[in-house]
Amino acid sequence: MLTKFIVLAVFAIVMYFVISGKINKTIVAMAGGLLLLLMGIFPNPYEGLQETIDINTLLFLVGMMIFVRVMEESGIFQYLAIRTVKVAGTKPANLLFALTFIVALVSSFIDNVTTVLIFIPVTFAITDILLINPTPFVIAEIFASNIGGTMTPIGDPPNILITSAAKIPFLEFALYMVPINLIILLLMDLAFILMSGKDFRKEVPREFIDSFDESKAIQNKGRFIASSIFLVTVIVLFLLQKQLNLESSIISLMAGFFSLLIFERKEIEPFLSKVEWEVIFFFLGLFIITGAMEKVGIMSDIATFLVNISKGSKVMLSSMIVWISGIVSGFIDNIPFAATMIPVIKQLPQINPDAFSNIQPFWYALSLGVCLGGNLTPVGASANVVGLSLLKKHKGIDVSFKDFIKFGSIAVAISLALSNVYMLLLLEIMK
Amino acid sequence: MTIFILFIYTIAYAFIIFKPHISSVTTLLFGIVSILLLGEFNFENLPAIVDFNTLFILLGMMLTISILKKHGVFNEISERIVKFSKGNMILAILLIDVAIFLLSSLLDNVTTILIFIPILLYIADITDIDYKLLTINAIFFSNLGGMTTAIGDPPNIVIYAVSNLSFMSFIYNLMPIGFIVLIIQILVLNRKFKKITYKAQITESSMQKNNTWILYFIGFMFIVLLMALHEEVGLELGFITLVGALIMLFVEGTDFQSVISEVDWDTLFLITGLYMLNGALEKIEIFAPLINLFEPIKTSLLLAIIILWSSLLLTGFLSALPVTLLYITIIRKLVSLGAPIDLYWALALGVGIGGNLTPIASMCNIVGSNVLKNYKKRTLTFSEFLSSMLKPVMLGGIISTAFLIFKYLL
Repeated sequence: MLTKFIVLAVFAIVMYFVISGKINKTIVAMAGGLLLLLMGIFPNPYEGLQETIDINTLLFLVGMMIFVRVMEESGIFQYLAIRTVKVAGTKPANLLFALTFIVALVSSFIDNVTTVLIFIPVTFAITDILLINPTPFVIAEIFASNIGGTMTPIGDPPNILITSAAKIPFLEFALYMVPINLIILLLMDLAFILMSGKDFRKEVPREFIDSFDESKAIQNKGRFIASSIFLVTVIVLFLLQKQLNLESSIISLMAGFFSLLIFERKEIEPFLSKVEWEVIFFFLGLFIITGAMEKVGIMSDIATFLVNISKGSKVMLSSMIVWISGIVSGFIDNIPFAATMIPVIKQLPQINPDAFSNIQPFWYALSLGVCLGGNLTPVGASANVVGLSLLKKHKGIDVSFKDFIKFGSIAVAISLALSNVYMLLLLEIMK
Repeated sequence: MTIFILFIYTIAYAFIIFKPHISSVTTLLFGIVSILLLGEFNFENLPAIVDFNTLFILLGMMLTISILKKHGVFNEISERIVKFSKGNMILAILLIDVAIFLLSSLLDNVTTILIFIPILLYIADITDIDYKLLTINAIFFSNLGGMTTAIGDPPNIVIYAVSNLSFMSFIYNLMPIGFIVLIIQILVLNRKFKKITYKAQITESSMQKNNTWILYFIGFMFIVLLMALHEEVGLELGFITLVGALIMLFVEGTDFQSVISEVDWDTLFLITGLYMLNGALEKIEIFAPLINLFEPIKTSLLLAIIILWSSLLLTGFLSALPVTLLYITIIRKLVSLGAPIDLYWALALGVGIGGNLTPIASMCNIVGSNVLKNYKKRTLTFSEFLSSMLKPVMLGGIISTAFLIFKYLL
């Protein structure tokens, strides 16, 4: 009982600092984790580490971070952004659809923040000429990046955690998640056009669209082509993950380090330091803390609680997971929340084997909730923070918490309601 | 399969020798490929192959150094030495060399080199002492100091993590040899400098300084104390260094990314890759014939001396870490079959002293030569380096041999 209390107290203190941001969250999480290891929650600190840490996720992140940075240098993503604008043509509404869909597609493979950093500058170029308000476009793109990230196991950190713990292959996950998220995106775009109608009536001059030159994004043609081939190969490897029997961390490590060798042979060291180690070590600390919570039985308490209030109904439980995780993730970092919920879901079959023998659907409920909920507030996901700071830096527009929530609540309401309906379908399919 | 893995292993080592600047990445990739080839591998049992204690110690020490550097701890030390010598430049040089030795025994060798070589070069400017002589000696003392403790340099960290010997046992066995070589080499240097009688006027710097560096220095000393007591406290060195670094980060309150981007990821990746490659080799039992060969003489002095000298010479060409990993697998097996733990000391001495042999034998040699090149536009050629290092290396080798003979006969 006492150990439970101590572990819970450490968790609460760490969460307090993560939310308040008073001390760097990585340092707090690492310190909390190491403290728990030293206190002897586990028979031996090293066993504790081995038990709790999901190496698969950590290595996957390292590999992907390197890979995305190297690919970025080739200009391949800028090229895509400009091509999209050209294809979409002169109507702002079409532009919105085209931009949000391509943002979703790109962010389903690379991280959301990078996607936002690539696409928002292109968007500013258009809204400047038209003299229209860039805010709806920027917010729509932020939302699209978060929605896109939900579609694949590698799009968003919580998905990496979930699919790594549940061992869901890439293609299977994408198969269930892409259609529902595309529908959510479509509805969200329609809602945006309705809400800020006047900005979408102007027409972009054709010659302006034509003046964009996508070849400028490419500095080195050979590298651009080689990078494209490399990128496609990596995506194919992910799609064939199950057939090849490769773990996603291996694919990502190979992708990262091979791309480094091929394209950045001269500058290996700077690229290695550019990896967001802060994020990796934050995960490391979190894994230990949630692992300790699991070890002392807190997770099974939560799971028991959830099972009791859902009265053994799968429909009830999956709806609860979608809504609770959605709303909570709107306010706090969704990574610790997902990391906490994963062991809870894993415990379900032990608590009520009759009703919850198949936990497969609940992984999807968790993923939909935590990833899509991030759209609720300006601080719900890192893409929101970065996108809004770009808006402030370049256009001097300060989107208030209230203004953001006006869009956010509608987007999240659409997302979670649709997800909830979708869960009913999934529960039928996965019986 | 065996041939295939050996083939990968050879290529990986070829990269280490011929393309050292990309070897961290190539080694890691070849490492992953080789364990994948073995099949049935899964990252969850990675800790069985890669020793995480090693990585944690390195990471914790690198973070600590980065913080200490930021707060000017090293500048303070060097300033104090120069002041203490009261204008006697030869004394200053010798004291700096001793400081390099002592600091390297606890910190990363490259860091100490980067701090002290510029100061030595400055002294060389005003005394007409040969730049190359000072640089080469600084490198030698740095490598020598690194050899004397469990955390002094990466090879020793690996030996510590694999062998489960205590922090203090490294000091008992290796520090005396380090000191003997240090004293002899200092005497040799002092005789060379005899001719120079230069007195410099030291101008007192009247700059106001804050004394936070003392706080961090004491913190660091406390970490070292904990390391010395780690068996009594019942903690692994990896935890002590990591927790120590985190506490310093807490006190300092900066963001993690700025401190952690100073970490030398190259070394960490290289070690991880080497562990994987050796794990694969172990799985295919390639070492079995070697172990069978040495088994009959496992308790004899001859084996220890073979290990000492062969690792010493090999290190000159393969660099210290790869040699350590290669040998440690065999030694661990032999020790588990009843060989004395002195074989570990033979290895530590061999790679520690052999690390001085050529410009590529350790990271510190490469960095030291680069500092000389950047400051004074002088390049140390391979043969220059080898010829000036040969004497001190032989001296170290002979003293180590004497130590082993002494240990085995008693």
